[in-house]
Amino acid sequence: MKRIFTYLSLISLLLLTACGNKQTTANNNAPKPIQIGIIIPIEHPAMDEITRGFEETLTADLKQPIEFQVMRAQGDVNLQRSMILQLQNKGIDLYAPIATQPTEMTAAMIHDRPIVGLAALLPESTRAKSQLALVDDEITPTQIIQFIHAIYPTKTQLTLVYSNNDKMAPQVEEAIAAGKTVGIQVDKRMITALPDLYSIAQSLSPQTQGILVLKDVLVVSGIATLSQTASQKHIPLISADDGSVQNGSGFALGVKEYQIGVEGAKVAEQILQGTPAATIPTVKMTKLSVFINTKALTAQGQDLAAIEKEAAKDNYAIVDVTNQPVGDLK
Amino acid sequence: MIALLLATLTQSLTLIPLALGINLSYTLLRATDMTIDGSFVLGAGVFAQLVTMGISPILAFLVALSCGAIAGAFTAFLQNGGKVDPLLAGILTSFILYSVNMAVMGRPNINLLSTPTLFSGAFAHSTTLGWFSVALVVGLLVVAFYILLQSRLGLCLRAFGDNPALLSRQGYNVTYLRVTGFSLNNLLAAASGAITAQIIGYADIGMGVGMTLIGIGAIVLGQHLILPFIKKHYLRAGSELLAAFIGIALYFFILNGLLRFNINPIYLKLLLGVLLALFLRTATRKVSLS
Amino acid sequence: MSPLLQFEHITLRHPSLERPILDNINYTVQKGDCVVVLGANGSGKSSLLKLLDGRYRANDGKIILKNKNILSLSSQKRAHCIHTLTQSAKDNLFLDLTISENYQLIQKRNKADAIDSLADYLQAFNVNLATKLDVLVARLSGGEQQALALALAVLYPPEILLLDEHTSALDPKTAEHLMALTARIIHERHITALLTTHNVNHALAYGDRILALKEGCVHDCIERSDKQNLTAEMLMARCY
Repeated sequence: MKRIFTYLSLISLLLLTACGNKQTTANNNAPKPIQIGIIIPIEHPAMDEITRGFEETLTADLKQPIEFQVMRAQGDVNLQRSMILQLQNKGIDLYAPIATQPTEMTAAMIHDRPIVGLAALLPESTRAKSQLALVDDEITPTQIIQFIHAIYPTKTQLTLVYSNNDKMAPQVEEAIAAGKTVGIQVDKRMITALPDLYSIAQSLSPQTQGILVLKDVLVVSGIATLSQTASQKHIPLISADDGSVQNGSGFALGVKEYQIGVEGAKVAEQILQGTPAATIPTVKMTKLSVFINTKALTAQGQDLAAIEKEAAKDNYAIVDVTNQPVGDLK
Repeated sequence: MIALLLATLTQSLTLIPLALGINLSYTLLRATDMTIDGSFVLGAGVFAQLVTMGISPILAFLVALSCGAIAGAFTAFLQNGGKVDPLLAGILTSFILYSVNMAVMGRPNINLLSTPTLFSGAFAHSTTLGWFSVALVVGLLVVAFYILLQSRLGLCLRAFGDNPALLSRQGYNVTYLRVTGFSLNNLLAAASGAITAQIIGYADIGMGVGMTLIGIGAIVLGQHLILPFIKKHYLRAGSELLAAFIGIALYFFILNGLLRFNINPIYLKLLLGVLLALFLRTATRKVSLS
Repeated sequence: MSPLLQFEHITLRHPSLERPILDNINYTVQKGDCVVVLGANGSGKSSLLKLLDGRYRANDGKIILKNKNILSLSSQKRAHCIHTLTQSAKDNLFLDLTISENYQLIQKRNKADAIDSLADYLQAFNVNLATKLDVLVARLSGGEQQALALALAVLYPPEILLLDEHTSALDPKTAEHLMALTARIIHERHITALLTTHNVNHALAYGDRILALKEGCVHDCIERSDKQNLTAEMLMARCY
């Protein structure tokens, strides 16, 4: 009896799924809107910001109707693959995967439609086979070190806290090298797990004149620990993304996630107007922002004016995130 | 409907070797081998790293399979002659494999978009030929696996899962069988990983998460649907293969089908999970009766 | 008759028990004998058999089989000369394999030629297994399982066959049948056997010699000649 029930439920489910795909062929007479598929690999406020920037810019700039299909893969690679296949079946005109891994997957599966990889970094050689354009969001540690040096020309000792994530190693090397050219000795401290952060924060060299954190997911998730230390020692805590500033870092030089979406939308416009995707050079984020947390800066005994002065000199936009709730950056 | 079936077929195809591997560990050896989560990535990572270095895809594929087998042998070794639970040994190996995979790959993600792979030539010609070449490689693995199941070794592995103590008292070397069994199932998982990496265009450190559970779910589902109709026990090996195919295909059919309803993926996993739990419940009831 | 198997000063202790499970056992088994080991629960008779097939390890002493101390052999080498049947079918057969698969595992291990027809061979064991070669052993009745286990055990006769209460899980009638079958087969095929049982009638009817154990020591040895004069009651009195 139970087995019959199971079979029945299965069969009805199969029937339902078979009927389910008929609903997509509803309106043929209306002018067909441009279909754009956005692939979000995992739930994260930053991903939503990129999506919002992309959708808003494209809707404002293009005069044609646009339909966005947003696919959220919830960190499941199999699901993500199914979603790309489904977008393919729907006859999507342009794909906008967010982050490197979904861009790779889309590029491997889709060859006959343009793809705009948002916040994705891939070698140029990979762009030949598919119609792939890229918006690269990485900012270099050199830019950050130079900015720090401009604000604090007298500082010679910085501590860089980073995790054992493989992505970080080359960036740490670059930061040290960049420090040497401007006379800052970068003291590196690695953590392998979040609890390490506390002991590292307690054992900082007394000579250190500031704590630096790069775009490093593990360290950023424990930024509050470092913020306390920075306040006790009256030294600045500097980071490279807006989220860490909301959570207690003094200031950061970084990219507004929304802006990545905006840049991506501009690339998409070019493609939809007929420029072959592969001929568009990879977009680097030139419009950098300085995120500040005035409360944290005061606690760390830092002068906002110096930061604002240097930001204005380099044409960086100042974004005050002091009282914004975490994860909600409009 | 045809699009749905095609999506199901192409997605299932790359995971069939994995399903066979899980069939071997779960059905024959009667062990839940979590190593598969790690050896899937190991296969993908080794393959991607080697072809990026310019080594021929065929050689890279074979090396990737061997690395999977070594990972399995390590899990067998950790079981210390049956004194440590295979589940624990597998989790431990897969834990260790995370670091190993990272070391092998050198970075969390290797992209294969512009690298020649086993199938890149065929896909450049036409998509149909591409999938045909994938089916050929998977088919070869399936045939090899079927021959193995029907062989003396296959019988011994099944006997090992049934009653290792008796097998040992009958004079068989159970340590050898344990190593062979776990090596083979992880070899198949690594094969699946390497094939998947070529299809999705990259090897990623996180691509193996949950693969074992999907595989076991699919196999239980397939067996529950197929085995009640198989009365002749000499058809067992064949029907187990069929159950693996049907299970994995059904999993992706339902996944792709549910996606078409625009269901929030959060509930999608819940629905899939509930469905699998339902099948597992009825399947375990059947076992406890016999 | 020549001695086939000799127990010399066999001692087995368990760390949690003060008294040894087996205490300095000396006994000799002649080739072709069927020795019945009697004794109360906990007298050590099963332990004696488990020492032989390697499930237990002796603390002291030797077991000599054909001039070799089998306690120093690996369990695989031991498997060539010793075969055990217990009351529980799962110790004797692969329950989730078919009859013919169980046969294949035995046959291939012994690297012997396959017999012409497994069905014909099984006919000799009184139970109708010939039509069930492709049935899972788990689906057979208890009596069929034990008969099959016996048939497979003597297919390539071991030096020693150990029967550890192999009938005690069966109903009395089936147990009687199986015991008679066992006795017939081991006599016909001149198999040396060690048998434990609680059934004194079986011991009298089918044993060539009787070894009685009590609290881990040899309590009594009854030779073939003494046996004729004993009744079941007298045996019971002597052994328990």
